[in-house]
Formats: sequence, structure tokens, C-alpha cells
Amino acid sequence: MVSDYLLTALILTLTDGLAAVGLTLLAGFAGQVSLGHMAFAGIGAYTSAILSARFGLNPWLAMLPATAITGLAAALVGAPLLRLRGHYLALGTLGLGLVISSAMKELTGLTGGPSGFAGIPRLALFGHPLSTLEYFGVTALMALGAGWLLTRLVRSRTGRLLQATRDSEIGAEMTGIDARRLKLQIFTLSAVLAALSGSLYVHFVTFISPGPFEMLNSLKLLVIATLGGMRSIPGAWIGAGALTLLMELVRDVVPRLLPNAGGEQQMITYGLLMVLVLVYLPDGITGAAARLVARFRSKARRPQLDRAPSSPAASPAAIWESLRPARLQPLEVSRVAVSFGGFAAVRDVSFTAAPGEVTAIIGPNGAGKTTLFNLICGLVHPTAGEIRWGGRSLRGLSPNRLARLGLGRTFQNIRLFTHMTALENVMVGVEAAHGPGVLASMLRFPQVVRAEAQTAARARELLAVVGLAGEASTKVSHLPFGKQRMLELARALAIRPHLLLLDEPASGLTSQEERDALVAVIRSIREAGISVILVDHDMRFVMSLADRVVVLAGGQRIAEGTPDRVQSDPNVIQAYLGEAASASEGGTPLT
Amino acid sequence: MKRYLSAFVGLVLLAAAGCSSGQPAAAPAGGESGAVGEPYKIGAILDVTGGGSTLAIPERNTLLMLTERVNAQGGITGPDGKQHRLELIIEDNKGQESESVLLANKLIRTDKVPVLIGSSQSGTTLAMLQTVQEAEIPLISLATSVQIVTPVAERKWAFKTPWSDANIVAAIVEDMQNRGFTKIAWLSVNNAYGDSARTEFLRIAPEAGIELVLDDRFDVGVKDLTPLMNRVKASDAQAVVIWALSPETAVAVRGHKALQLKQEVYVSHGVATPQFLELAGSAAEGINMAAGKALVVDQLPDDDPQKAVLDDFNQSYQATFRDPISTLGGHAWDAFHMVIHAFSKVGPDPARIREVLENDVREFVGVTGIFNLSPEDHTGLDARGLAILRVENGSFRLVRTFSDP
Amino acid sequence: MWAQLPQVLVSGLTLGAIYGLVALCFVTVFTVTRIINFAQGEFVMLGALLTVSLAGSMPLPVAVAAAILITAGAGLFVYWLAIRPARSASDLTLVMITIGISTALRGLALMVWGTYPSPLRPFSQGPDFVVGTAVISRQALWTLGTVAAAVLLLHLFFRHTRVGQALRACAVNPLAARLMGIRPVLMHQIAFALAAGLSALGGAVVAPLTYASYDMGLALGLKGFVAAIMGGLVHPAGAVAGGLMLGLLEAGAGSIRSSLTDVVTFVVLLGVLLGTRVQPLGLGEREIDAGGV
Repeated sequence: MVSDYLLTALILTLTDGLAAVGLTLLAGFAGQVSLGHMAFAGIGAYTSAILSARFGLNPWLAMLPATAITGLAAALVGAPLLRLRGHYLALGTLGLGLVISSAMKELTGLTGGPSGFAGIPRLALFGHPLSTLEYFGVTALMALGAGWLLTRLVRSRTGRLLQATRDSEIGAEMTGIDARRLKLQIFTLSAVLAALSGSLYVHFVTFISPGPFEMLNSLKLLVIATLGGMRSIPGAWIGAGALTLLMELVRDVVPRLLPNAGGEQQMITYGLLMVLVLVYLPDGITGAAARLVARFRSKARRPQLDRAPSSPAASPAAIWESLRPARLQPLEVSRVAVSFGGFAAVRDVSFTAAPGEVTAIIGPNGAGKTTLFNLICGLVHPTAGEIRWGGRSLRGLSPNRLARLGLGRTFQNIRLFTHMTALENVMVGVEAAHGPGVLASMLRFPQVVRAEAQTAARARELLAVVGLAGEASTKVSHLPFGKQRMLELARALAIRPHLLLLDEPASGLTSQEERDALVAVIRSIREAGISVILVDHDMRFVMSLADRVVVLAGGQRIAEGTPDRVQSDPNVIQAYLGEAASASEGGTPLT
Repeated sequence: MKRYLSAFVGLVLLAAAGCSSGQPAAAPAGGESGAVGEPYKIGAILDVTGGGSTLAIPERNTLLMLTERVNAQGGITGPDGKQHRLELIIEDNKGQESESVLLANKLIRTDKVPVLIGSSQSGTTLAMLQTVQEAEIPLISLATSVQIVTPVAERKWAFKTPWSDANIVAAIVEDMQNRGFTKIAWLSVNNAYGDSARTEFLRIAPEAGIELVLDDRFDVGVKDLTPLMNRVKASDAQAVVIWALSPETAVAVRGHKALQLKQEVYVSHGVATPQFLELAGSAAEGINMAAGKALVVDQLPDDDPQKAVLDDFNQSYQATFRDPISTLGGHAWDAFHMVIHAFSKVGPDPARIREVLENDVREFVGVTGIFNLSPEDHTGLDARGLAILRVENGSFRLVRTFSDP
Repeated sequence: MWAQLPQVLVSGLTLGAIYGLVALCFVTVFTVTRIINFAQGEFVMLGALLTVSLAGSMPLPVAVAAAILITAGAGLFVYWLAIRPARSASDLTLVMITIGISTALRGLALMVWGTYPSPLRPFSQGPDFVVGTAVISRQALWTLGTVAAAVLLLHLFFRHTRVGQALRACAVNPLAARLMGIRPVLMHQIAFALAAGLSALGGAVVAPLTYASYDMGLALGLKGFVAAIMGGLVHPAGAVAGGLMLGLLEAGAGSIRSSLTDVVTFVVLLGVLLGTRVQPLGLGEREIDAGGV
């Protein structure tokens, strides 16, 4: 007969892990910190407790509204809260935890105040309250179920979108990912998990008070998640188990090695052990285990995405044709201006980029070219002027909305998703705008599996047309710079753009071969009917591709026209020679 | 290289962490005449670290001292006529409810104790109740909440030695009535300790003709209560009740004094310790409380029924720990003596220990008071253990006792 | 209600000064090392407890000075034991490590000084000052004065000494600082020791008001963190201002309803944060690209 002591320890560990896995999801996968997470466990626990103890609802049933209400509360609170970043978000979540803790103590009529209340029914089967062994069974099943579903989630579209957002939030936005909505979904999910954990706990102990849901335990959750490893779903339970073992060790061994050691010595031992473990296993236990495993295996196994055929069925021509935009939309920039703290980066700039053409924007350093790009793609809001695309004003539209409308962009300092493979990067572009959501990803219906295969196939096609077919499984960080540039292009193409903004696509390309390949791809893009707006310093590159050139200097447009006309414009020559232009690779100014 | 150096330093620290003066261990004494039986085990769960440490340390000290004392005399004579030494196993629940549950399981299942003492705080005790009910092991709590022993039908296995807030608050209210206070400001700490007293006060104050002109709560660990005292100043309260443990109460009374307020101050029995006087300094002058008589033993008349027990407690505690006694240790004293009384009658049989506690603890003179446990009352205290104390010239002075039940 | 205002101001500014000092320490460490040291509050605690212990056998100013030095040493020790070996870990892991350090330091204090709070006699004896309806204790004046002096000295240190300027350089642009020959490890150690010593001073000066106990560090550290964030985590002046604001908020909330002090404080804080700190997407990353904070 297994000891009730062991079973109780296991039950507490499993419920701790259930609350912590929400944090792993939130912090490890979505990159958001939450310092008050036990507050959600508390809301779930109190709701469940009140419904079952005061209103006589069956505890199994009570857990449903408990998790639902907590999810709702999280969504309501998360919407404004997640607008904060970094340390401000940390502070916000801390404050949230404190406010909810206070509420538990204040609303005495509802919650029993600081004393709490007892008499909460145990979960029961067929009228018979569960024994400790049975309770362990239930908790274990729930934990396994949650772990399984979440593992599926992080390996699916949602997981990829999350990883993308973590790797580069701007890159993700420009690929069409609505980061805010995604984070809110994960925040809500993590709260629901915490609520489930709280309910399970409270129906086991049959007593509730604000104590277990205060800040100290929120920090303990963080410790558990970090100890287990933030990059792995099972890490939450491994961390919880490790912590329980650690405490047992300290409780058992310390008094034996060092007689007369009481709780005081335990505390310092616990703290020191925590520090030592965290210092030497920074990725947690699962991280260390993964590193060990990687040493015994030459390359890690990737999910079956990579088992697709290495060459796609369609021909390059067909793939390019599939990228042809349905509509022809000119981009009209009129009298746009923006200032940063008194410095006018862009002043009264107007030009039109005709559909299906390559429009180049050139100018000396500091002319405002990148700022102009940021204005067009929604990363910066203009202080004056209008940008219309196909007659529709782009004012106030978020970058991810623009991406979903077909406005793609590459960046001067590449913003790829560095922890993912080339294939996954492009897949994100394909599936960012629509695809299976959080719930569908967890449950993995057949159409979800199919959609994923289709996404992978499409991504392979796009890799092929930019010449990266063989690099599908290579991690971005292992790709040479030139190939990374191409990959960014492929990813931008994946969103089915009508207009592509290319920010210094040739910079950093060292060989003529790479440049020629780039020129060829951009030509193919234009021939497919996609409009291109291009910024670069390399004059030869620009002039060979552009249909129209706009020249900026000092934040203003000083010339516009065909490449030949612009090259001989005296204003342009003055702008380049008058300012100390930095040497650009592969070409001197104006040639 | 440097990483290993710091790891080494860390491990050395770990080793050093245990080498400080601990408490005397419950080591059995040398052999003596008479047949020797198996040791009787007592499990204790105390809130040593975490919020309840001011409660738990005197409790732990008392239990250790008594165990040593009993063992030094060869242990207890069990119903089988043999001498049984005591084995006391103390665990620290770190003030956490889930730890309490876990440790209760450990003590019951792994260490196989037939009886439990603890814990020091109400929340951590209540969390254990499910476990002890299921395991059918009697528990004597050192916490105050009335929820521990009621509703009686669902608390078959739970007992407690401290007074209920009902007794103490009633004593205070009586004192207020006698002194003609009708407008009171109530300030309590925002946890179970403060809350249960507040509930009790709100219940009986109206019947006693007392009006609450101010009712507020403050957090554990609060550092400055002058803003709250400002509110008291602005109210027309004639007396202020400050219900918290020593640190917060000291902050409160100092705030009260700093603002040069004139109301009469009542505090809780949790501060009936000399350490509180040290903390509060001159601000403690003139404060009133209803508490046990342990602190004013030498001021008790010789015919006080508890005097002998209190003297014993006082002298043995001071001899062992060189710290003055507190009423908190007294709760542990009483629990311990009930347990060994049961042991001597029925040995380590949980169900029969429970019966002894319910039926054979009558007019039991303890430090906390005179106990009359019964199946309907698992605390069994009346007003007789209480006294009204007042701080004068830096020490506790006995104002009056309650000689009738 | 208005009659209480002067007292609220006094209480708020006194405690706010300490929060500001702790916030200052947070900012000092953060700007130089990019680490949020959640154990900062424990250095306040060490300073307070050490002063209490030493004050029994030596004159008070010497005790305070010794406490500061010992705590600064503890700060260095913590840096070498736990922070430096983990320098390549993620931000979150580093935060967790500082939390572990905080627990260990608390356990140490518990072992050495026990659970009971210890009082410290005020720096100067004498009656409290009464200004209108407000009562100001001498120790409160000591607190305000000490914090003001510390802030001033720190300002001078950062502006006019080589070490101070080197620290600032490290904070603004670590790479450039390295290229100029400033050794980052040395700067980190100085920042840690400085912050620990400063916190200890705060602990010593506030102990007569609030008692020294092994668990006083948690709440103070938290409030200091809040104040530092409020002040923007960039400028020392902001940290102190954040601390004073927090102190006043608390005192104000406490004078309306004490049980809701934390709630009111945080709701106001959240409101301010949401009103002013919400950054439009992309600005943060761009700033990082440009080498800004």
C-alpha cells in the first residue's frame, strides 16, 4: 500500500506543476513575465469553493465555472495589462496579484476574509468522496492531459507564432502576427490552468484561505518553472518534483548531518541550494538534460514536417504566378511628416509608387529613408500627411493588419526568427494570418494536420523559388548572411504581398553571385505583379532595378523620376557631394 | 575554474549553515530501574519560519524542555507498567498551509505518531483537519480560531488549548463596560488572528452598548501606522483596540504615542510577552490586555488555583532558556501535559487517546487556564484562566483575575 | 480630513525617503549590470540588524559605519557567488537567482538574530517636533536628512569622480566603455558593493522607526522595486522621486482606509503606468538598435 504521505506529496506537486505550466507557457513561450500568478489560482479556488460549499454545487461541476470565470477575468485584465512591457509588465502583474489578494481578504462576506472557511467538499465519485489514492489518480490524469494538450499546442501553429514573436516581435508583426491578441490568448490559457490547479488543491484540502495565493507562492511558481526549464512543457512538473525533493532533502538530511538543525537552518540551506542549482543549470533541468542528449545525437529530431519530399511538385513559374496579386493598388504618400522630440526626421514627403513597378528611394545617410519605411508599414505614426494604398487610408492601422492586407517588408538588420529553421520561418509567413487557433491546435483534428502539411508544402515552394530549397531544416542562426537575406524575402513572399518594402536588401552581400541572385529574385517579384519599394545605398544595384527613383535628403524629397533623369539632377549631386556620404559597398555614389 | 571556486564556497556555506547553536535534542536519558518499553512518539507541527515565528519559538522551546524533563526522569509509566521515554518529532511548516498538510501526513504515515500537537496559527491548523480526520489521529492545536473545534460534529479529532476569541474579547468588553467606554475604535491585523477577534467583537459589542466609531485593518509587516492613528485622532473614540502580534502592535502603539493621543489602548493576548515591551518601549505604558496569568505569577495571590503550575512553568522555562516566559509557551505546556496524561492511561492508541481527552480532562489545571474538555467542547476553557493586565513602569501588572467560571 | 494632511505628508515623505533610497540602489545596480537584484531589500535588513548588534559595544556612528562596510562586503560576496557565474543566463533566471539569494540571506539572519524584531534607540534623543497638526520624530528628520545627503553625495560621486563617471559610462554604453579601457567586472562589483552599502545605511537609519527583523527586507525590497520602476529605472533622481511618490501614496491611502493601502497604491500605480508607459510597438526595439537604454 503506497503511503499517503507520498501520495499527498505527489498531489501537491502535480497541482503546483499545473499552475506552473501556465507560467512556462507565458514566460517561456510567450515571453511575458507574471509575478502574481497565484492570484488566478486563487480566483479559481475561491469560485469553486464558494459554489460547492455555499451553494451545494457538485465539486466537479463547480470547477467548470471556476476556470471559466478566471479565464474571463484574465482576459479582461490582460487586455490593458499586456500593453506594458518588460519591467512595467512585471510590476503590473505584481500589482494585480496584490490587488486580488487584498480582495480575498476584504470581501469577508463572500470569501470568509483572512480566516477563510472550511467544509469544502472533496471531489467524489458515485457519492463517495475520493480517497487520497483516488485523488492522486484524478490529479495525475489531469496533469497528464494538460501536459499532453499543451505539448501539442507548442508544436503547432500557435507554438510557431509564439516562438516567432519571442525571437523578433517586429519581424512577427510584419509577418502578420497579431502579437497582442496571441499574448492575450496565452495569458488567458495560463490563468485557466492556474484556476484548475487551485480548484484541485482546494477540494483536496477542503479548507481555503488567502494564504496559499499570496505573492510568496507566486514567486515559488516562478522558481518551479525556471528550475524545470522554461522551454519545455514537462519542465513545470519536473521543476515541481525537484523542488519537493529538495525540500524533503533539506528537511530530512540537514538534521541528520547537522544535529539540532531546525527550520532556520532549513531556510538558508534551501535558499543556497536554489541559487546553486539555478546558477549551474540556467536552462533548468530539462535544458541540462537536452544538452546532454544532444551530445549523444548528431542532430536533433525535428517533427515530421521535414519528412516531406525535398523538391516541391510545382515549377518555379507556377509558384511565381501563384504570388500574383489580385488587385493593382498604387501607394500614394502625400505630405507625410514625422518628428521625434523636436527633430524632424521626415518633412512634407510625397510620392506615388505605381503598382507592379519597382520604386527606389535613395538619399544620403540620415535622409529619413528608413523612417519613411517605418511610416508606411505602420511602425511609426506620422504627425502630418496621409498614406493611401489603393485609395484606402493606412492611418492608424497596425503593422500586422497591414501585413494581412498584403504589405510585406524586409529589414535592414534582418529580423528573422533565429531559433527556428528556415522552413519554419516561411511557414510562419504562410500561416500567420489564418490557421488553426489555440483550441484546435491542442485537439489536433484531421483538418489541422492537413493544414499543417499544406503550410509546410507551400513554404517549401517559396524556399525553392529563392534558391534555399536545400536549407529547409537549417536553423537560421547557422545560415550565412546572404542566405538569411534571401530567407527574409521568402518569408515576406509567404504573406502573399501586394506590395513589398525592401530595406537595404543588398547591404552585407559580399559576392557578385549573391547580388545577381537577389536582382533576379526581385525581377521575378516585379514580373509577378507585386509592387516593390526599395531602399539601398548601392547605386548600381538600385539603378539596374528601379523603374522610378525618389531622392530624399534631410527628410525631404528633392527629386523624383526615372533613374537616368535623377542621376543627372544637380540637386541630387549636391546632396550626395555636399554631405560626407559614407562609402557604399560595390559602388560609388551616382554611378 | 572560478565557477568551481564559487560552487565550493557555496557548499562550505551549506555545511556551515547547520553548525549553529540549535535547541537541545530530545535525547533519551540514561537507563534506570524498571522494565523499559517502546518510546511514545509525539508529533508537533509548528510555524517556526514564516509569519508565525513569534508564536512558534516559545512553543517549541516549551515542548523540548518538557520532553527532556520527562525523559530525564526515565519517561512515563504506561498502562503496561513499563517506562516509556518520549520521542518528540518537531516539523516546521514554514507558515504554509500545504506544508502543514504534507507534514501531517509525514508524521502520521511515516513516523507513525499516535497524536499531533500544532500548529501555531489557525490557517495552517485548519488545513490539516481533513488529514487528521481521515487518519483518525487526535490533534491538539495551539491556535486560536474557533473554527478548529466547531462545528463539533465535524471536529471529532481536533482539540485546542488557547482560549477562544470569545473568552478574551468578552473579558475586554467587560472591562470597557466597567470603565464606561461606549465609543471604540477597532484596529486589527489583516489575517485570521485579527479577523476572528474582530468577528467576535462585532458580535458582542452592540449587546454591551458599545459603538464602533472606527473599524479598520492593517497588513502584517506594516511599518508605520501614523496615518491610521490620524484617523483615530479624528474620530471620537474613547478607547482603541489594537489586535495584532508584537511587531505590528508595537508599531501601532508607537504611532499612537507619537501623535500624543489620549485614548485608552487595549491590545491582544498575543503580545503578552516581555519582548513586546522591549519593542514598544515607553509607548507600551498604560496599555491594557486580557491574557493569561503567566506573566504576573509573582503578583498572584497564593490561593490562586493556577499558581503552582505557573510557578513551575516559569522557573523551568527560565532555567533552560534564560528567556522570560510567555503565555504562548503555556499553550504548548498544556497540550503536552494532556498528551502525557493520556499516554499514562491508555498508551499510544489514537482512538483511546481521543476518548481520554474528551472524557478525562476535567478541572485540569494548566497554564492557560482550567480545562474541562467534553465531547461538546474541545477547548474546555472558561474565564478563570484570564486576567486583565496593564503595563506600568515597563512591566506587566495584574489588575484583576476572573475567579468564577 | 485636511487636518490630517500635514501628518500624511510627514509619514509619507519619511517612509518614501527610504523607498527612494532602496530604489536608488536598484537603479544603480540595474543601469550598470542590467540585473534587477531582488535581494536588495535584504541588504537593508542586514544593515539594520548589524547596527543593532554592534551598537551595544561601540558608539553608534562607528556601528553604522561598520554595518555599512560589512554589508557592502556581503554585496560583493553575493556577486561572486551567484551573479558572476550566472552571467550568461537569461534575465528571468537571474531574477530567480536573486530571489534565492534573498531567501538565503533571510535564513542567515534568522539563524543569527532569531525571529523577534529588535529595536534600536533613536540616533538622537529628545521630544518630537510638532509642526501644526503634524508630529515629526527626530528619527524621521534623521531619515530624511540621511537620504538627502546620500543622494547628494551619490550625485557628486557620479558626476565628479573618475570611478563614478566610469560607472555611468558603463551604464550608458557598456561596449564603448570597455573599448575605453573600463573593466566591466570591476564596475559591476563596485555597483553591487555601493548599492549594498547604501541600502545598509538606509536600514540603519530606519531601524529606530520600524524595528530590525529578519523579514523586513522583503517588503522594503518590493516597495523599492516599485519605486524604481515608477521612476523609470534610468535616472537616480527618478528613483528617489518614485520612492517619495510611493510613500505619499501609501500614507494617503492609509489615512483613508488602512486595509486597502496596498490596493489603492497599486491601482494608482497601474493607472499611471498604463497612462504613460504604454509604448507604441517598435519604439522599444528601435531604441535598442540605436544603442539607447
